[in-house]
Amino acid sequence: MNRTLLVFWRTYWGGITRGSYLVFTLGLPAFFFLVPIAGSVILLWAIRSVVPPTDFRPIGVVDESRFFPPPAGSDTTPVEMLGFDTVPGAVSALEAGEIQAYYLIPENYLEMGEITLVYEAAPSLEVDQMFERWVNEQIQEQVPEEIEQRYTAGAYFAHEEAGGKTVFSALDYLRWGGIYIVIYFAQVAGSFTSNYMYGTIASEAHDRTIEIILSSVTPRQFLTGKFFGLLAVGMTQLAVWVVPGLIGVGWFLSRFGEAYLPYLFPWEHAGLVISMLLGAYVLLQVMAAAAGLLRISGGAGPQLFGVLEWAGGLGIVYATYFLPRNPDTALAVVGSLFPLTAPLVLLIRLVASEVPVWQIVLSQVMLWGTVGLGLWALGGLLRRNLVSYAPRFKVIEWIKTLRVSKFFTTNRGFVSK
Amino acid sequence: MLNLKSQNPPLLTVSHLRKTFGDKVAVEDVSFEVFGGEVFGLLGPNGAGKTTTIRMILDIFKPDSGTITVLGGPMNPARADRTGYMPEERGLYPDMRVLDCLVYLGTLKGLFRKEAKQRAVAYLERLELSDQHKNKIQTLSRGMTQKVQVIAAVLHQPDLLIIDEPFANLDPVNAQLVRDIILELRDRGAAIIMTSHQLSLVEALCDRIALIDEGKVVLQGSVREIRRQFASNILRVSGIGELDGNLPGVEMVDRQTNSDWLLTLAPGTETQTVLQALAGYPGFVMDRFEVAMPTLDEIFVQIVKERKDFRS
Repeated sequence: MNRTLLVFWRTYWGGITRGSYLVFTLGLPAFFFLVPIAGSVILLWAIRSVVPPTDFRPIGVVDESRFFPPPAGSDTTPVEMLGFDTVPGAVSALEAGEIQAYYLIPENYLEMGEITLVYEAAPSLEVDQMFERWVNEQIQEQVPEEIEQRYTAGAYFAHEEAGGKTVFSALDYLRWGGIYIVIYFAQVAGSFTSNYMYGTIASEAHDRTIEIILSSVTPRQFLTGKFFGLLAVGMTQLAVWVVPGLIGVGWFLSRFGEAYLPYLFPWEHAGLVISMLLGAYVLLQVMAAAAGLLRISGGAGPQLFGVLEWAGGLGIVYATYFLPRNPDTALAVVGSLFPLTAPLVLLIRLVASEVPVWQIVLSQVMLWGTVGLGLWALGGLLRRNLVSYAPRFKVIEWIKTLRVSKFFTTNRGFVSK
Repeated sequence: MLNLKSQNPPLLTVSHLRKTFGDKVAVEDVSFEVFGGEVFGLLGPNGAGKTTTIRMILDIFKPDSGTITVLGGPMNPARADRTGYMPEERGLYPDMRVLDCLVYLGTLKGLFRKEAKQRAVAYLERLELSDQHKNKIQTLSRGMTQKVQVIAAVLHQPDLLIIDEPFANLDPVNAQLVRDIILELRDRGAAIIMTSHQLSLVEALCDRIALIDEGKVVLQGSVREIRRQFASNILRVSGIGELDGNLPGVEMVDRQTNSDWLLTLAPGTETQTVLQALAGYPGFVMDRFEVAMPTLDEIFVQIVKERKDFRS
């Protein structure tokens, strides 16, 4: 097998079979799905254990407001509801033990909203919930459907310039939300992978295993296999997390209809979105690998990533609150071109504005150019820093190394003088 | 191991290597040759430049100047496959299982997976590590890890083997097992370069040595020649009887035990003259006669100390 593939496979397989990786990768979606389910079950069990057992005698309903129809009778669960015309009738039934309690809906219920529950021993929570549900259903039936929908969904604001040009419409919120979620999860996955990349490369730099490896493969083969192996580890994680995401999208579509599909993702820019996110992902990994190679000690590595995440957080705030309303400012254009911010700013602008083609092209060139430059520089850093006990890193020395390394052009990565 | 130079070209030629890191000169001028079928000791105090030299041989570092010829030419992937290397320590992935790690390193050297596995299993058995093959490297003792490192270095039967402190952390029994593997490889015609601070083992195992100090080769040759070169003017003599000072060319007779003496020769005295005198010495029956050859340890200390004194 090709040596690069061997290093790749070893890195990939070793990465995805780590216990911590499996726990985290499978645990996160499980957390989102299982925790609510498990939490509900536990809560239900807890409630059942502290509330009195359900009394299965019927409950009475006295509707003095005359707003509600008579109770449905035996169809209700867990207990039957019996309607009474007057309070004395309900009281008699309660005293005779025919009902466990009765709800008194006063004449001014629609104005005040208060309902009185009368009992000798309080009914269980389930009975209360049943009655509340019934009340809500009866009210909803009285409300016209379009009003109910509007009430449930709330209002969206469409922005329009004085000249009549639409700045953004109501459904743009959905488009922003869709692309924002995609960017966010790509960044989260990138962050996790970069931490793993940093740790793995730093430990390679500490161990002397690398010397054995480099006595068998070229630095280029090693770096390519290692880097893309780690990248694949992150991609696998992303794929595992995307599945619940797709389930979520499926649920959304089944609930709200396929008409919303175009607004969930800018399909017309799918290639560009993938290119930007992939470029950003690789660039982040290059930076993490470089930090690992520099063997930043004393916690400086995590601190470096802390600063990056903090800066990324500021970018997210900007992209979330300010960018959609002002997508074509000078800051937004610069942010679209700068490789570290472009994946966030440009992609938001894609759905918020009409980005000129030259900006898209230049942004791509700068992003992938930086990735290429980073990979090339990584070759020099590898030569200079991967081997144990390498002399302390100095920029001048590193530049000298880069000057002679011609990393991607020579057989074993280096050139003899 | 005799007359190697006349029989075969060297498998490794290192010529006037120089390597600097910034202002620091790690290797100033190192030259030596290693032939097939010999064990070559690369010796020197800590920081002398041994590891940097090895890394240049392995093409991990490029020399600032000088040339290296490995197995007939400059290092390339094909020659790298014929080279084995064992660093002093931490040369294995700690979170990998023993057998997986060996198979992985074997395949990186061009072995097919099946072949690598078969060889690894055989070596593990030979070095009494069979029951450890499923364990992770990090769970092994230092001695066990050392043996696994040796296997990783020889699994592909290299023509050039470079081993750094191969006997570190090994008890005498395991040291013997490793020594047998090294000698087996040598007898197959491989060139072995060994660095070690255990000079008694170097003396026993190496055919030739080079001593590096401050990036320069300060001593080089066969172990026997070097010891002879540093031989003192003292003779060790054992026998029954009495020896007094009345021996031709002997300045001093120093009795060590009832049957052992050290004889200090006057400058210019031939040992043969003393031997003949002792053979005919009245009242003394000689059992042993030898020139007091210094050990490599003593030579090493002497040279390094002299150079240090000279510099200071």
